[in-house]
Amino acid sequence: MTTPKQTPDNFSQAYNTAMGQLMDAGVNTLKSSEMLNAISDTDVQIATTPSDVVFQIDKVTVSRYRPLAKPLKGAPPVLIAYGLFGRQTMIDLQQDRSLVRNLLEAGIDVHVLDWGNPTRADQFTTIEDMIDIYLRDCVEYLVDYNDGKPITMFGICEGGTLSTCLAALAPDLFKGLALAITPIDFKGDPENFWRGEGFLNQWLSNMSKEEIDNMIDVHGNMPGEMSGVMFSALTPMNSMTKYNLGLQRLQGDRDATLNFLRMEKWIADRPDHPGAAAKQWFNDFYRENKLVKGEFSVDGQAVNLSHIDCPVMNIYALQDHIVPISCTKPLSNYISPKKYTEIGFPGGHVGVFVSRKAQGVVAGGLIDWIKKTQV
Amino acid sequence: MADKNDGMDAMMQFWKQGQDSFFDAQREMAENFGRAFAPKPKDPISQGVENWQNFVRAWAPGWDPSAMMASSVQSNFDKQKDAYFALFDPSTWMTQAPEQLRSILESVANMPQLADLTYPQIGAADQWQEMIDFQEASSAFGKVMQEAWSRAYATYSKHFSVDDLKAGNVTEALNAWVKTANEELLDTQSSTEFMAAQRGLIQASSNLTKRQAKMAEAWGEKLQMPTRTEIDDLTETVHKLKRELRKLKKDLRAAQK
Repeated sequence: MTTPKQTPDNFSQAYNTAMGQLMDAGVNTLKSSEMLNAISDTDVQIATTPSDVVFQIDKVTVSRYRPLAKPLKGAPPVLIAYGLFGRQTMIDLQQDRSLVRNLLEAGIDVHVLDWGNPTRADQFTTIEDMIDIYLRDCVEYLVDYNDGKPITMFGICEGGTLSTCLAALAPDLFKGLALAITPIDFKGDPENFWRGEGFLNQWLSNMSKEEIDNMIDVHGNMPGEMSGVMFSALTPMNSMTKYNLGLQRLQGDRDATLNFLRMEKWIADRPDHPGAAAKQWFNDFYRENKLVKGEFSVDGQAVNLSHIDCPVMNIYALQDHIVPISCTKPLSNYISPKKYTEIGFPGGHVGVFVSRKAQGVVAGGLIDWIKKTQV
Repeated sequence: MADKNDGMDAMMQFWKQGQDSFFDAQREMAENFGRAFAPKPKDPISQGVENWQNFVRAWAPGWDPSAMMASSVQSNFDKQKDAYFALFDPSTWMTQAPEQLRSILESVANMPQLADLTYPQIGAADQWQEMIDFQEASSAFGKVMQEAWSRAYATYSKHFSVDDLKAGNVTEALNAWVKTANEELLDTQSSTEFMAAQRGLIQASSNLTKRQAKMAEAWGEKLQMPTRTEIDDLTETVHKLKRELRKLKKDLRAAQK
């Protein structure tokens, strides 16, 4: 940076600039503090679209959202499944940023799977259990509800991987498979990761199976707080400055503050991940990349991704630091090109659902795909 | 006694330290900013000495009081004073147990066992060793993070000096600092040094927590209390039974079709 020569005139100008900026920062901080004081927890509501529980197995439930528009003729019901490193409420964070509302307004019959709150009593639940018992039972319930006809599955993140496995094991249950930010090839392309991309892949590859098992055995499950710390570390300065600089930049704007707090509420609600399944997720999927090697099996049956024969739409985020593009795009290697569609969303992992832009690109793209391939 | 979230607490603590370092850097930047606009203030001791010298000169113009300050007595006093005040500086305190302690604990933990005698000190020695491992792993992790912050500040200082701040754009300076620090932390987090330290910390914390749980269970058993292991065993049995029952129901449904 070039150094301006200090003269009385430019000294005074610089002083005024600095003081002006410091004053602005101070005023913004005060405004933000006042706004935070004026908002109570009850003002911060997420997942408000009305729904009713229609199916339950152990702690896992399926809820059906109440329709908001005339049904889209011929469209199968859609089951949305998130993973257990976050909560499915992200798809309905607020009214104007709700994938669920967008689908309902298009006349689609939307159901969502909730994994509940696993406790230490659920620590022996495996990935096989999650796929072949819980997810399968929920899908089969919905197939029955749809008069025995296959349904449309929308899997997100870990939920997308589990849905992909079930679609390969039981293709008859699915009319279509939509995925978002879903890891398939867990190694990806580490040589070409951009700065900050693929830390989870690197960190987990650096540990041995015994070390990962040991880390989880101590707690029984993978505690939600531990997942939270891990995710915070992926964006270090953003995590450290969001409650000071971040809030200051909101300038006390009520809508912006509420958006921020809704996101915080979602982040704070991170369930524990059943221990046995977490160990498999880290060891079999991340460390050993068994899914794309065809080495992962459920109840003795190998998961062969090329058995998926329904139309597939794969939505990924171009700036996703958690699930690198090179980890999700390889799904196209297993699906017939005529049946495979993808959308590269210009944003980050969570932005796929919560950003304003995503409502058009992602929700709109999904609805178009349903109309084109599922009806 | 540390709780079950020791490792996480340590990670949180380091992130907090990171945040403290961030604020320290902000403070340092603000001080630089202050220095850019104001003459350098004298520290209170120098100021006091100068005032005293001026006072003496005013009453005895022919006498140079600075000669007294340079005497050997004074210099010895300074040395003693420095050593004394160093005792109060936490950075000089020992953060790790000495190696001798580890060898003593190892000999206790590895002593031969006799069938009819109990050795509670063996478990205690194991736990103590794991506590030392945890301390060392925490220090190693802290060192990696501290070095990252130092590198971040060094990089930042190359781009933003006190002179640059004379333009008065503190917002730009702060944004540049956040960006520089973020890049340095991201680079650090993908380095082999960081990953080795992170791995060591997680393992040390897990081993310590497991040992503590084992010792707590030993006491629990003596007091006829159900232990975590027993509950986990029961849970596993119930889980297997449920899985078996589901499979039987499924087979039955398939057979009926």
